[in-house]
Amino acid sequence: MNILVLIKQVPDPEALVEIAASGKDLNIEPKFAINLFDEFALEEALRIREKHGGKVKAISLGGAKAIEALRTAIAMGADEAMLIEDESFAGSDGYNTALALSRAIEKETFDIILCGRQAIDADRGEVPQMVAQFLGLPHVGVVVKLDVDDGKAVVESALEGTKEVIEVTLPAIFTAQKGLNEPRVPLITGVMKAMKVQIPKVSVEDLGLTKEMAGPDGSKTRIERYLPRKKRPAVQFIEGEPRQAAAEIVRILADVERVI
Amino acid sequence: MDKVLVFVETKGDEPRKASMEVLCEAARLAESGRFSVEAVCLGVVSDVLKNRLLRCTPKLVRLTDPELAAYSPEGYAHALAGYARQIGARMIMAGATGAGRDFLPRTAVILETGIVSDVTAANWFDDPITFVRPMFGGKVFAEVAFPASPVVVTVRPNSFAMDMPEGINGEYVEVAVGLQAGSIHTRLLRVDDTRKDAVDITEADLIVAGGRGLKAAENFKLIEDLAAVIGATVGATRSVVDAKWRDQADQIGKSGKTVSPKLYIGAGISGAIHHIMGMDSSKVIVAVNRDPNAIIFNYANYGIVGDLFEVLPAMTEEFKKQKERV
Amino acid sequence: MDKIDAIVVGGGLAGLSAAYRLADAGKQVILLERGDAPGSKNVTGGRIYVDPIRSYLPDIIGSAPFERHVVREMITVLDEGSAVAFEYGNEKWKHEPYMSYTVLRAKFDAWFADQVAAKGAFIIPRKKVDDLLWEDGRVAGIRSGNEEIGAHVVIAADGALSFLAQKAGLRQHHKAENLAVAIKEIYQLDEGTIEQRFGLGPEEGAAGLFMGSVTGGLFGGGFLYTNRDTLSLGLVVGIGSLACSDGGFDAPGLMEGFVNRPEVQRWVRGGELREYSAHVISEAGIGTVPKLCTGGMLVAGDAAGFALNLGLTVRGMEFAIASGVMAAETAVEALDGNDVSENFLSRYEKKLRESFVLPDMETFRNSREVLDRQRFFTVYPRFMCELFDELFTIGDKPKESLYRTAKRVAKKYVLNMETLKDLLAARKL
Ligand SMILES: Cc1cc2nc3c(=O)[nH]c(=O)nc-3n(C[C@H](O)[C@H](O)[C@H](O)COP(=O)(O)OP(=O)(O)OC[C@H]3O[C@@H](n4cnc5c(N)ncnc54)[C@H](O)[C@@H]3O)c2cc1C
Ligand SMILES: Cc1cc2nc3c(=O)[nH]c(=O)nc-3n(C[C@H](O)[C@H](O)[C@H](O)COP(=O)(O)OP(=O)(O)OC[C@H]3O[C@@H](n4cnc5c(N)ncnc54)[C@H](O)[C@@H]3O)c2cc1C
Ligand SMILES: Nc1ncnc2c1ncn2[C@@H]1O[C@H](COP(=O)(O)O)[C@@H](O)[C@H]1O
Repeated sequence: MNILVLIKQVPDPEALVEIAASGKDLNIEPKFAINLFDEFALEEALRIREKHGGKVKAISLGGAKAIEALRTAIAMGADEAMLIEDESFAGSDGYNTALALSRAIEKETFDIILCGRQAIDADRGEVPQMVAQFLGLPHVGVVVKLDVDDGKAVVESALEGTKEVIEVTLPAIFTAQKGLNEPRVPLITGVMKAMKVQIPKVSVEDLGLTKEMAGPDGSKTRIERYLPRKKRPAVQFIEGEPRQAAAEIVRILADVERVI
Repeated sequence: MDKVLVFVETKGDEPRKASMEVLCEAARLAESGRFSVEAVCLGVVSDVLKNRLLRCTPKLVRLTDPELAAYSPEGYAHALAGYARQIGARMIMAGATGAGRDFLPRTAVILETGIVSDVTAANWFDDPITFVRPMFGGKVFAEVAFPASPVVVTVRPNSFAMDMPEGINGEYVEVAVGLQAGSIHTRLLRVDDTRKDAVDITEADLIVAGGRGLKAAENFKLIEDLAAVIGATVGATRSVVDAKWRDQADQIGKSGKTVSPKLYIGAGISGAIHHIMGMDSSKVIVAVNRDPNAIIFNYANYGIVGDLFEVLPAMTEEFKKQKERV
Repeated sequence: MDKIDAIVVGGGLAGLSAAYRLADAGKQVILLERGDAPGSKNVTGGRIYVDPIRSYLPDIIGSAPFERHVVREMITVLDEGSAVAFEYGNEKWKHEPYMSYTVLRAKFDAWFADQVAAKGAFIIPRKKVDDLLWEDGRVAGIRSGNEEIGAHVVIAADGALSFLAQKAGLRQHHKAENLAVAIKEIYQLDEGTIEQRFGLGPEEGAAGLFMGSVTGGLFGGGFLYTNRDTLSLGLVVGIGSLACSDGGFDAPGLMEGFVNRPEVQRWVRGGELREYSAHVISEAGIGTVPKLCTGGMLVAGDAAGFALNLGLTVRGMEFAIASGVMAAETAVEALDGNDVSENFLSRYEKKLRESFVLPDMETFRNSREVLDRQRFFTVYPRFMCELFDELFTIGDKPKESLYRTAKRVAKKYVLNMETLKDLLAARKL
């Protein structure tokens, strides 16, 4: 069973994100992490390998720093990794990202591709499905259970809150949701190994694509500007005994806010 | 006139609320004279549903291919893309429901275009038109333009107002797009529908959420009672889900679901940023916490400092009284 | 057991300095840090004096991302509702080489960690060391979770509560009176506002100290440092004095009271709270320095008790860096000579004696005893405030002469036997 895991390096969930004065860029505190959901994807890949044998390869598209995310993947137990190194592609839209990833994947042999449900930076949740379409493969989204057996997989998807049990023929793409598993913490020896591994890099040109594709002219969608979160007015505390406070809040919700 | 195609997702005799919101928005757009609107349903459509939808859209199209009887991303993506291509749609819109977010990216690729997922607003009269969507869990918003064609967008539930257009009596058309045999590689085996009638939390108008302050799984009864009185959906924090007091499907936040109800009531929740990211776009937020310094109060419209074991039952009582009054 | 050359436990300044020097000498070294990243769990007021350590880590100190060089010192003595403030500046502080800088540890440590990694050391976060491995009565590695990693030398740089030094039997359990707690907040303000508000030029910084009623009369004080576009504001309070004080202790409450003082608000007003942290400081001076090595293991930084809390200032970073480097140098010599016995490693202590570290600790050995006298934090601040109050108040009564006022106020507070004792004790400072 050969498994590819698509891993994106994203700003740490705690990193400060501010809009630059121009309104056209973001200033993000330089703290990085593997995308939360990609850790579930990787963990699942490792478990499938442990059960069925085979190899796990982590692939990322990003800037030079994304090598750290791939090292973490190796420290956790991935056999190989590959970085498609291109700063401009890292910031491009889902379509171009998926196109570049699918070009790289075409050259691999695999039975399963595991991705995260969503990248927590842009919150798009579209790249895996697009990769699937570019490659003409089936996918199942928001997976919370995955059993592989003999050319097919039976998975539980929590796409709509309910759990749907779906059978899919392999090769196929899955997007991992929290609940699928508990990602392991890398072993110290794993980290030591990962630090020494040479991780091959390919450029987007190697994939037959141009840098321009990722730029504003080449993208299908374009971010015009960023807007700050709308601030809520300061909290209004409802005073009094529980009974009084409850009566007051109900009055406000019904008569002032009119939400019930 | 530019054609707008609205994908209407259905559940039995009901259209999904998120789809209806998009349909209403499209109807308003059509009034501007720049767009013409068609609604499209995939698979089975009951008569009740058909008649209901025809009052909201000038044209309802049902794609009849038998492969569409159950949801599959491949089948839905190809069918919708096929029809969009057939009519030369300039824009395809859908609610950002689970399915909408799942298959529309594929539709976009088939149409050699991109997608703007999970938008919360649109600037229809800007040139170019821009869509507003949250990023980084709502820490910032981006205005996204769409140089390519057609435009594909999914819209977060509760973003567009649902005022039904009047005086519409649409036409109904059935079309087979001709999905190729063997083009679908997934098969739905069964649905473990543990919560058949419950409104999906991402579409809920009213949410009552509980955190670790409830102390034990059985105390969620307090949350459920309150929710039942006002017809709200129950939500939870990750701590609570990790403790197995509630199902993963109820989790609101960065690693759970993003909700934007009209009213969110949270009790016994500290307000960790990861939780806030999932509920900050709620219209009105009420927080109950016994710690006056709880961070959740920084994000709430109204706060009650007190013991939830006293406050929640009192609120339930008061809501009951209020219901009886009206 | 397979062994690597060295394991450093703790990614504070002591650990990073040790790992840097070991890697620089071509040794195989891993640094284990229980936090999410080096620096993530550190709390520092935020001022570092660079002269003592320049020679230990010239490359690092020369290019580190410090915040601002300090050109102004401010001391504010607070009483309930009144305050006396002093300021001292010196033109020579405005010229290089600068004497001291303000520093934000999260930024500095992250940068430092990158330099350490670039030298070839493995920095592994999220690894808590749980135990030591022993072989022939010597430390021979560590256990973390289920993993056992062997090493010829372990350097314990695990901070003030060093659990490893205890495990190795080098120190006793901590006594509460030897510890202080510190609370620190970081406020964001833009660069221009900071410079204008404090009257500073670009890159210039100010350091402020607060004493008196901020700590409610407890051993301790407040600090304020200007960073590039933030302010570090904090309180240090002795745990020992907490235990003695009646009516329990509410550290966040004290902090809130402190922040809301107008003398503090004038500096931080309009700033947005960005971070809040609390930490323990060992503050007992050389009295608590443990044994510094055993076979296969050396202790550095706060773990070795190398920190001085003088009530108003805390000095620990220089000691952490210098001791980390000296521990690493000793380890390198031991590895080269194939002798990691306690006897060989005790060269470390000799190096410390010949450096500024142990002599400085020695000088301040008795400071604690003096500072413990509560009057330093209660009576004297009050005396000063009241003196100024009398000086500047013109009421309906005839004004006394300056001398008489001073004598009367002094009599009330300081002209007594207690003070005389304090004065005698203060000679030890
Ligand atoms: C990468 C990452 C992703 C995460 N994703 C999510 C996510 O998607 N969703 C999420 O929710 N969390 C998420 N978390 C976890 C999050 O950081 C918090 O740990 C979690 O939200 C806290 O849950 P809580 O508020 O229920 O519990 P606590 O933080 O323990 O708060 C309990 C609150 O209850 C109050 N309380 C206690 N007793 C009473 C009483 N009798 N009456 C009234 N109030 C009372 C207390 O004052 C306290 O404020 C994530 C964390 C990480 C690191
Ligand atoms: C509020 C405050 C203000 C201060 N102000 C100043 C100042 O202005 N100037 C100054 O010079 N000094 C100041 N100090 C002192 C200074 O911060 C410390 O002396 C210095 O940081 C000590 O460095 P260290 O590397 O020895 O320890 P630490 O920085 O505490 O590092 C120890 C590290 O070890 C890790 N660790 C602990 N146990 C384990 C384990 N079992 N496994 C793995 N990792 C572990 C910890 O997570 C931590 O990262 C201040 C201290 C405080 C608390
Ligand atoms: N640049 C990238 N490199 C590798 N994988 C990616 C990249 N972008 C997205 N993915 C994968 O697609 C998933 C969803 O991302 P997104 O569609 O951007 O929200 C992620 O969790 C990854 O598994």
